[in-house]
Amino acid sequence: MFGELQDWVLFIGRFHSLVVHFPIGILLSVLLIECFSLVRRSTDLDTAIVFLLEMSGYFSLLAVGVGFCLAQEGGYNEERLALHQWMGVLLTVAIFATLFIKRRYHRYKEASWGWSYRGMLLLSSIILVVGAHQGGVMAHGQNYLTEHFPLKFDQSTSSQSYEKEGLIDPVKKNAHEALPTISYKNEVHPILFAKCVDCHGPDKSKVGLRLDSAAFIKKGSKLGPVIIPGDPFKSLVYTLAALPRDHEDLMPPKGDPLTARELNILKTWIEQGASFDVGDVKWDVVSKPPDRAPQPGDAFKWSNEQQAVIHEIEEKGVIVRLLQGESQRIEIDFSHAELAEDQIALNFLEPLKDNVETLDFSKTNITDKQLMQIDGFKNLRVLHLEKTEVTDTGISYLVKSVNLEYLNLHSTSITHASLASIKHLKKLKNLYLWQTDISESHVRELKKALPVTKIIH
Amino acid sequence: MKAFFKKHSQVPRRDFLAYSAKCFLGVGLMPHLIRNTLHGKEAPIGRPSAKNVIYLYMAGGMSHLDTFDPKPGMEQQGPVETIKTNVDGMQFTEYLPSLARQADKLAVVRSLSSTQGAHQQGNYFMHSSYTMRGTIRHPGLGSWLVKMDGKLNKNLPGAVRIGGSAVGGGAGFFETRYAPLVIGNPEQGLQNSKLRKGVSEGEMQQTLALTDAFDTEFHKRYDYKLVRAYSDMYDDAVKLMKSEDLKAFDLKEEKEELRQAYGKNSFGQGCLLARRLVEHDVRFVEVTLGGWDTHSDNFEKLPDKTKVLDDALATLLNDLELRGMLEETMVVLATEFGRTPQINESLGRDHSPSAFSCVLAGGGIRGGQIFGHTDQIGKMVTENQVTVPDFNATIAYAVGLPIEEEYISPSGRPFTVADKGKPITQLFS
Amino acid sequence: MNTSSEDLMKATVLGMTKKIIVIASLGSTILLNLGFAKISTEQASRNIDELVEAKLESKGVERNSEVRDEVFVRRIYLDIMGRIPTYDEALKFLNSDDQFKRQKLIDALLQSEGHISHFFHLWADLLRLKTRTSNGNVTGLYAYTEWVKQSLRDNKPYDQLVRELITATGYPWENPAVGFYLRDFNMPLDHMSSTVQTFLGTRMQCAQCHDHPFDSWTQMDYYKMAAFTYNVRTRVDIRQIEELKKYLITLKQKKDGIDVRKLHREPARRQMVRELLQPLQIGAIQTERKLRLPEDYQYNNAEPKQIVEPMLPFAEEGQELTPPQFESAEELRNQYANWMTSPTNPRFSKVIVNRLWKYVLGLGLIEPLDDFTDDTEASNPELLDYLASLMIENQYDMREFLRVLYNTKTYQSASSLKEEVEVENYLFAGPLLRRMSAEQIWDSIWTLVLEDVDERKGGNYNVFREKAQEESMMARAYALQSMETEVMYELLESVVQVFEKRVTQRHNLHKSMQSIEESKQRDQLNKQLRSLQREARKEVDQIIASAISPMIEEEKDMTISSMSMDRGGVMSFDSKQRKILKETDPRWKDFHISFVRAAELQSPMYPGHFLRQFGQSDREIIDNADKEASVPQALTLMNSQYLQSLIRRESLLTRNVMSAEEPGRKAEIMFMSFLAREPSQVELEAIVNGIEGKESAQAYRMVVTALLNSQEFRFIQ
Repeated sequence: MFGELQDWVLFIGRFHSLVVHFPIGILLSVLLIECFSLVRRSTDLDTAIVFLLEMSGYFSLLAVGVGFCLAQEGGYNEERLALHQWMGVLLTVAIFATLFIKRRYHRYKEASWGWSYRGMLLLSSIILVVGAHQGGVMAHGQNYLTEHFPLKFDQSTSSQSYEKEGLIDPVKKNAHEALPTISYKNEVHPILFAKCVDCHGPDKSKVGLRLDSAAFIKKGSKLGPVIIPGDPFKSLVYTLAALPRDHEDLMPPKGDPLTARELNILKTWIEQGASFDVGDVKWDVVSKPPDRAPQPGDAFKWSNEQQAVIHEIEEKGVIVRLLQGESQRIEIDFSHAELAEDQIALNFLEPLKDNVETLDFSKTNITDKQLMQIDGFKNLRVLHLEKTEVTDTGISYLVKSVNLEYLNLHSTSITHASLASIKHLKKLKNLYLWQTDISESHVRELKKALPVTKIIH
Repeated sequence: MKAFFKKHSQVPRRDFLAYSAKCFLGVGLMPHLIRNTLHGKEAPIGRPSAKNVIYLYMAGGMSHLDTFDPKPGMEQQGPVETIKTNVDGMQFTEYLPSLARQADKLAVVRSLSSTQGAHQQGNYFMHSSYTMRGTIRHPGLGSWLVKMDGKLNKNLPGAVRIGGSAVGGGAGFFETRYAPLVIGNPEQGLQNSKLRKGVSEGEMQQTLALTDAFDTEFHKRYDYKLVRAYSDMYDDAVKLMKSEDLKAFDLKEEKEELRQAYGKNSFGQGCLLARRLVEHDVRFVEVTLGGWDTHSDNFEKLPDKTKVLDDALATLLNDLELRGMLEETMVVLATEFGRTPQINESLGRDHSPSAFSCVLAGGGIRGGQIFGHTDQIGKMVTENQVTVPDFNATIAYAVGLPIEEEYISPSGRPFTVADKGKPITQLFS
Repeated sequence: MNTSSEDLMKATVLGMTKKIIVIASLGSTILLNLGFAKISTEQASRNIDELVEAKLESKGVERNSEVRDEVFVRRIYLDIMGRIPTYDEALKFLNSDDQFKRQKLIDALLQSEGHISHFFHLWADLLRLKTRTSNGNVTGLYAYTEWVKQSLRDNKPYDQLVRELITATGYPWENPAVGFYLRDFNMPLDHMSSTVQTFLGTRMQCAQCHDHPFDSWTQMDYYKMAAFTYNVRTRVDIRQIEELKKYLITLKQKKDGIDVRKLHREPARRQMVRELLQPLQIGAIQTERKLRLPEDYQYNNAEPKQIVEPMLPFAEEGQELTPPQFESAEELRNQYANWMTSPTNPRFSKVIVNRLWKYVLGLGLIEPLDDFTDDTEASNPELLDYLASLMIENQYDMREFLRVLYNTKTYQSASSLKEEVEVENYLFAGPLLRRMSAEQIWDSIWTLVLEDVDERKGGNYNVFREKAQEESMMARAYALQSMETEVMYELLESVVQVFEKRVTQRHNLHKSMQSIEESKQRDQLNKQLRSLQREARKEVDQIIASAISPMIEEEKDMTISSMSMDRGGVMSFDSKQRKILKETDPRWKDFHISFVRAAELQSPMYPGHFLRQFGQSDREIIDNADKEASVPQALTLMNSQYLQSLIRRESLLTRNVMSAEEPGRKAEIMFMSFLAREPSQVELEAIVNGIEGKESAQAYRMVVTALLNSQEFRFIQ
């Protein structure tokens, strides 16, 4: 005869957002009056204050009650909800306390009462603000307040946290989980691209609509705009995609319809004003790879000293090339730099010596004496000396470079004398001796010493 | 799969590197650092096993049965005999005697299969990993490489194409400066790169200054991409004319015997030029050998064709190895599709995209292996099918390109090098 | 925000009403013209301008100002003639004060041979004209390119041209139009998709292997469509050749016991027979051959390898789609051609007018030109419809259509200052700024060098060779067809004998090669092998030639001056080469024979040639020309030999410049020759400073090079 009690509860619950504003308004007006009379040093409004305080008390009591009903609807972030509820209760108590003190003060006119009353009033106002904010956040979403805050702080991480929080079910239209801003670039564009662009894109643009870039989406279709920022249910992009799966107007007509999650992203994005945030700009730039924000925990940096060296040698036409990331292994290639002998000084590379994995001196004017410091480069794996003036003396400096895996000496004037030092390079995988004076027999000998090494002769 | 994980475990935080590059490093180093991948997913990139690529393209559709995937004893094989190679169990046809002696350098992929049965489309697909569309031109591997990883030698173009006219393989939707420089005749090298007799450098400078004077009005008036492109073009041209690296184009610097060994034909000399260019750190050199479209008289036309290929490729591999370049240079032999096992009425073979062979060597490839198999007549792939994107992804992987990173075309659509193909990591040592 | 949108509203409403009026007026004019003389050029141009204006006003945009004479004369010459105006031509126009001079110039140029040499390239790019296929064994393609040129010269109506191409049958020397099929030798399926893309602006390629992902084409549609022309064979089944049959019969009689069916096992005989009958094996021959679905047909509406009956992909406007009724394959092809070229075919007319519109104004009303889908929308639909109706009304007279476009205000306005990437955004306030095509740049350079450049015919070596080869093929074909069976038998046998021993030798050599490791030795053998082949060929050629040439003498109508008997054509051609390639005409004797307009050269030019450097289409894909900047282009314009030709004493430019005394005048002549305008004060000063202290030859060289490399030279304003 009453219908489902549950339904009544939910029905009443919906009035929370209405009722809740009364105590807020009233209490604030009390605050106002107090300040006013404080300045004016008059008490003629006291009766009004008492009355208002009483009212706000009852209303906040009501609001709390209705609020608990609304809470039944669920779908809210638990902690935040709890906090909000307690704030509500606390506020009611605080208000009645204030009222009580006020009455006392009214009667005895003792300054002490007066001050404690004012303090109490202030306290309840604070509780009010905090509680109300919680509510606001739940109703309008995380960044609702700051959304249009001129000094933007970075929201790029929002997408991840968004994944974590999990999403509300699309049917519960009013129930608002606090949602971080959706990024068009990271979340919306991929959906549109996957599901819509085949027919609404550069190849085909049915009803003149293209969904492949911000400009076109804003432009809308021949039938008019397809997105009404803030109102998903007036935005065709969402409504047509959200139609029941058996509906004939459902978009996309062929292929998989959008998933609940995709629908939500779309909806929330539109609700949040369908902004094509800064991330979007890149999408119009053809060539530029998207900039990456530094990831937390990524520690390494090149020291200023190292940067200085790299810059300087690059100036000279030396090619510096990163081979591997975290270990900062690099290749340094002198072969195109056309440098004079004295410009090829290894000690100059000192700051980078642990990073250097490949050194290419082929066709350069390097001589034996530059190789003296080579043993400093502990991580040297690859060394190109082909087509240089290097002689056996130079090679003798290599004995300590035990990590060498690749050594190219073709078209140099080295003789079998070098093989003695090369023998020590046990890790050597490839050795190139083509067009040197080293004889077959010597090579065979070396092969014995370095069985695994591939010797090209 | 082991190899895969080995490499995967070395994956650096490319995305972060891109950032640090911008913050801390010189321009020259920067492009190599931009290895970020989409949404934090890490592409399987370890230390790039190859630095440069020599890409030999057999235009028209090379018959796999008559080259790298013979079917001895089958009637479909026709009159062609099969010979042993220096790798046990690997057989080529008699048409490739020299390569047979270097099979230990080759990874023969016998299980390629394309979706494109017509020349243009097949050629385009092989070069760009995307099927041909009316509305967009996709970049070729070379342009991707230069675009994503940058030039090494600042004076020379990053990519060069010798002969042929690949339908795909251009700059696609990238800027023109990423397009391969086309060299018609390797003998002539880079035409017109030297000042004419009697013209001093000073005179040329003054002349160009004069041109600028004539252009000022025009430049003020028209705001066209193409117009701007032309001013850039002249800067590059002048830079190139001044550089020492021009020698790279001059085949006369090579010994006559070597030139003979490569074969005195435009493909052979093209391969030699390719080696010289890679020596000067041109990243990607493509050489084309045409005329494989043997719809008729297959067995009369092939001996000459294969001879050219056999001589050039065998010499190239040997040459690269002697110079210690094979380690860091990946040599690719590719074609748009194979040819049918059935011999048609005009004694030719028709297009067969369903199964064909391509070959990889050097640049970290483990030689002497066969990957994938075709059925007994070579019509269908029976094992380890490799799609065209997979094949190109393998090349991209070798040179360390982020195969999952998306680039956005002017039409606003994301594209990846090798269209999300999966690299065949088993091929690497 | 609001106000502006209101304005927009107003503008649109205005535009709408305007449009309605225009369309009404058009309707009436067309009605008026029905039955009477077809609509006048002026009227048509005016109508087009009105439609463009309507669009402009709807967006509140002004048409660009009318273009100045200096700019106009250069533009119109480049657009119609494909080259810049000569010094005299430019002056003549600029100095004339006839108020109709533009109109008259347009008429004159459209009638000239120079126009054909330019218009040809549109068709070369569209039809992928090649003077030689990549695998080289198809003859008749040169004749085909010449046929296309002639058709343009005769101003053959477009629909007729297309019909002749599609229905072409026979051997190339009987009907050069068969080149349309020979171009895609042995690739009937590819050929079909190209045809549809070319004339209906519709891409079906991908349906060759699978249903079209976006458009409505299915693989079945594709095969049904292909079935119309699949019955045309480019390689004549050798067994169907009468001459061969005769031969085989006699062969049976003479050599009993020989199994004719096993002949293909005899390499020598087979090869020689092919060799000799070569010219009779290539042509577009009508057969009854049926098209079957591919082995891997994946859809369940039919079985793989099942025969496909022809069916059109879409019907003519207001008609039902019904399977064609036909007696013969020939008739079937005719029906196909008629459907394709019918005025009621929804795409046929629109595609060509859109193409020509872009040809004239630099951007299509629909882009890309050849990817029409059901959803394609023209940027100005009324205009496109009108253009199509105009084309139909003028019975597909393309020259008249161009005349109309060139006479529009739209064309004769200044070009737009910003480039438009988005077609739908461009309203044609004027033509776009365009870079010259490769051919335009090439032709313009020779305009500066040679007098009467349009009259110089000939071409480069390969063209002459192709020509000679085709003639020799033709000759042999005639000879064979009129040869006594007996004679032919003898001829063949003698040839076969010669060849048999060669082949065996060659075979042994080949065998012995595998065993040899030493690469030097193998090369030796290879050399021998080649020489063997060469000798064999020579010997055979001589036999054939001696047998055929007497018969050819009888052929009165044939000119075989430069003709050779051998298939290769080259060898015996070389001997006569010097005579042919020598320029006899005094006007050009100082300049190499291959310095002619691009239309005279082989198509396409080889990679690396000037034309290819500047983006000439490789003629592999439809409309594959490009206009992108590249380093080699700069190098060529700065350092190439062509510059030398410009500044030679004999060049037209030099002679004109030398005719003047004082430097200022010289500069004026140079500017007029290159840019069809006088130099500005600033430019004159720049020159004076630039060439200060240089001796005259060097100064001249500098200014010429500077002008050649200037942006204004490269672009069509």
